[in-house]
Amino acid sequence: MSNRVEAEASAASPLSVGQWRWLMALVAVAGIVWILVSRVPPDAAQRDGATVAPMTGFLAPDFALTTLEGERAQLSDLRGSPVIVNFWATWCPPCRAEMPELEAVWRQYKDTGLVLLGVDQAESANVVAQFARGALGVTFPILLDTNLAVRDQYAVRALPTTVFIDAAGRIQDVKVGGPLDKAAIIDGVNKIVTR
Amino acid sequence: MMPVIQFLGFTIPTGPLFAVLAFVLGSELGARALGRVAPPNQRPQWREAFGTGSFLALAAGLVGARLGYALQYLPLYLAAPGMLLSIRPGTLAPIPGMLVAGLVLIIYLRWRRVPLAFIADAAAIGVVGGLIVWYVGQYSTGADYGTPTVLPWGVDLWGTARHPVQIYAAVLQAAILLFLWRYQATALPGETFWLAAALLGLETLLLDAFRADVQTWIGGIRVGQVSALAVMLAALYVLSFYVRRRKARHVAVGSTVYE
Repeated sequence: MSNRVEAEASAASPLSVGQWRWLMALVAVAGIVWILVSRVPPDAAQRDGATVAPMTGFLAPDFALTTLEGERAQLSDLRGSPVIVNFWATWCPPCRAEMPELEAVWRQYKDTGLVLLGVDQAESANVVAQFARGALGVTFPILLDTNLAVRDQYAVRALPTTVFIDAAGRIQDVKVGGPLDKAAIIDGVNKIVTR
Repeated sequence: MMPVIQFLGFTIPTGPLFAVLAFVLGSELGARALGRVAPPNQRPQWREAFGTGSFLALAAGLVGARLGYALQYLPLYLAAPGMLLSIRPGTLAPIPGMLVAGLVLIIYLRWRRVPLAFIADAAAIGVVGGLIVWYVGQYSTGADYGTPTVLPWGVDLWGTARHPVQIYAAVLQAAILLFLWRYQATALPGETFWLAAALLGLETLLLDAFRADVQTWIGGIRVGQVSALAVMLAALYVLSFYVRRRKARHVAVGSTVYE
């Protein structure tokens, strides 16, 4: 009985060693052909980069909001500059915690033309100004997404969410959650800034 | 896409949820696979060992992934070591994490006297099973999206119909799992692992052609496909030695059975 069980467990392979080697050669040739046939077309990046979507590799959805100072700011006006869009709120502890790091990185990279936009979620200008300009002393532009339209455009599901947009207007990274430490912010900046 | 689900007033991101489910399924499948090949008086112990080992590996993997990420920005983390404790998915390096997790799993199970070949076989089955759930999660969040298509089952993503490549991958993984589960019953120790490597390589080689967000070399050649082909060929080469072992054992045992 034990010999029969052992025989079943050691059933011969349907292929001989030589046939196995031929199989390997066939796989190698077929694999190389498939790799060459399925190469990424040259216009693929341009095609995706021309499609508007809040995802990495796509064109960032355009929006126009009012700043804390009452001025109008439109994302497409910033084409040609790398942009960080940070979705936040004063009631969000991780958002508050990462603000100083965002300010520090923005100051460090200002000479590259980097623009940082803080998009506040449906709060009054007084509340936001008291916190951002008063308590924290941040100086980068703060925009008011009063009716959460931009949040919906960017499919923001959690705060904070930070979107890194290159000078061509394409999203290169989206970091969901926080607080972002300096390394994480610089990681995103490196994808959109060319020194 | 369903990046979040609402449950009892809570907003739960589906990405991490599916990651947890993938781990749980993978751990359970790996434990059962190991139990099948254990000596009869060791089955419960080996299954428990794999379950415990997988949780230890998960914890170690998270630490390894965080440290791997921090190494890229060492001066910043040396200046503020407390930042290391801020763990988020975007601040974890997956490859160091997986290497550390694999190493911890092997060390723990070897300490529990489980042979390496059986560990590899069980881990391979666990990984394949976990990937089924992982790919469903990718579909849910819209990650790893496909190339544009005119096929009727294309999924609309931001105005373009795209291959649901995550679903293709999940279905293929399920087929691979079924095959490996049945094959393990008669496989030699270690053989299931190499077979899994070959099949996962084949899956990547085929499906990367339908993935949009991929790394490429010059000429648009997809890096993942080249790596997958190399893995497949290496696995097939190792499997050729199992073919020889099977033939040798069949000849030896056959003469005993039919004597």
